[in-house]
Amino acid sequence: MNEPNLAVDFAGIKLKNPVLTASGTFGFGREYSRLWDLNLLGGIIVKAVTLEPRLGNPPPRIAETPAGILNSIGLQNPGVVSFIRDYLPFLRQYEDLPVIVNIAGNTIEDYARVAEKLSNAEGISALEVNISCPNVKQGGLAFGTDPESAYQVIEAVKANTDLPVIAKLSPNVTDITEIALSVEEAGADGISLINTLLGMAIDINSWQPILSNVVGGLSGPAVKPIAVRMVWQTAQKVSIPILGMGGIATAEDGIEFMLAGAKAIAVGTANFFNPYAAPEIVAGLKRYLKEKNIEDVNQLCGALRFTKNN
Amino acid sequence: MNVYQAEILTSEKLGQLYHLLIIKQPDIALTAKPGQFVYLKGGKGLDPLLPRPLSIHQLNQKEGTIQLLFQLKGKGTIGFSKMKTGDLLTVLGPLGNGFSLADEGQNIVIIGGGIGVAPLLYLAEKLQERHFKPIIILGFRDKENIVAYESFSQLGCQLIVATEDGSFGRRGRVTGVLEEIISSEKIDVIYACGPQPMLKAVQKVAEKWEVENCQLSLEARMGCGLGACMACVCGVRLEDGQFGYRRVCSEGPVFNSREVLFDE
Repeated sequence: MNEPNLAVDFAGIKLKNPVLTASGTFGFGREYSRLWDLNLLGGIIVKAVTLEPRLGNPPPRIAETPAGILNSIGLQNPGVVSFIRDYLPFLRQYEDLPVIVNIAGNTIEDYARVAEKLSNAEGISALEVNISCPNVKQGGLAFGTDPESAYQVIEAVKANTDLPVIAKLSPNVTDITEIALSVEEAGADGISLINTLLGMAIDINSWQPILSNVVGGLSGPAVKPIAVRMVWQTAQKVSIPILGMGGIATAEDGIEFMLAGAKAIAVGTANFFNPYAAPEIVAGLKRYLKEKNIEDVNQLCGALRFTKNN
Repeated sequence: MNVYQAEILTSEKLGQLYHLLIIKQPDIALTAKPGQFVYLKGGKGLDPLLPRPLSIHQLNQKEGTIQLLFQLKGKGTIGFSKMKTGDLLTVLGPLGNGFSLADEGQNIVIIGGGIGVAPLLYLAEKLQERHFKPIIILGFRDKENIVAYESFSQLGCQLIVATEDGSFGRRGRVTGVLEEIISSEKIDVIYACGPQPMLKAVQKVAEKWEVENCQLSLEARMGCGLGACMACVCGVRLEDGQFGYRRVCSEGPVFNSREVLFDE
């Protein structure tokens, strides 16, 4: 058998394989580039960038839970101007690495202005709009839990960029498809699913919350079944492609997301406990396709089969 | 720095509270500097999920081995302590900046509190190798909590042990001893590692006696260990005087005491 095709077209972005790294877990790429060649990735989604630099939340910002972690980083980042000047040039040296920039803001105007600034920069393939960060007081999650606000943010971003726009949705809603349909209508070119689930952990010796922010976002293998379910539900309703994420640590995990309807996948928390997770998933995906005699990875997308009992 | 599979050569319980692992990893043993750490995971299990940062206690370049001394605190460290000779650990390292070594002729005090003594043995050895004569002050809650005393006493440096209840050595805190020393002779460099209240007290003493080169090794809950996730930050005073956060894993774990802002 010939080598299987791993390339996918995601919302007009040509990816040589469907494996990306999830925003916030991979910085701006530099740290992991010391371990392996970033060109192995289908693409990189960099940490959220805001209009002005952000300090982030006070520590502790992370708590471990069974098969998961809670984080409340609070979008610490150097701001869009510094990102373009100090971080983007490093990524540009990887010729075959689509760079997707996650953007966040307090107001719709913030999102629009960040989108505009990034659109004028060289070397960016798409914007991922973060309307789902649970760790900031303003904006973030508030935009992602209301269909009308979600619509307005995406519409404003679309009006200020020619780049493909991917809406990153929050799982902290009653009906994820409602928000998904709303961002599709607003012109989103793709959807990222899922951001973290709001959670909490308590120190039973001090009787205090472990995170200084009290609550944080849960990620890691613990959330995978929820993410797969949401990808599947959303894939039934929208026609724009879905970037699946939430607890992916192995190729097998990623395949579940693709069968549920994801066109591409992102590796997040797994980077922390296995820094080689992303390239290993690319290799594992290829091995799986060969073993199953599948010529093209795109054949997995939404290929979920049902039996008569489903 | 890379990810390695390392074999456990020795796994030894030290009293009720501590544990010592000796692992074989020649690349790290050859390159690690005092104050650097490794990010350690046993097996591929998902609970505990994250690796744990452990400082390098001592290493043997000829044998290619590393000693890791730690306190049994939670799932991660208790899990390591149950591993046996011949088991493999996944090790990312060496990580962090480490201590910067003193200039020739400088007078040095090394201060450790509790399990904070762990990274100081390798530091003391390196300093001795360079003909420094550091004064070492180690503090523990009580006699039962003392760890690594033998290793430090074999160095042949001036060693002062203090316990809070006086059950071994001097009665009191390490910072009391530090202040006594500083008031009688000029100290150029302080190296410290221990619980946060101790580090805060050391910070105060250094400020009062104008010891500019006071290096504190901090501990933090970490995510990636590499500097990508921004989880393990500590508050600092930046060069421009503004408040900011720095990553303990990649910009630390060693910071100058003048820049650290605890509790912020």
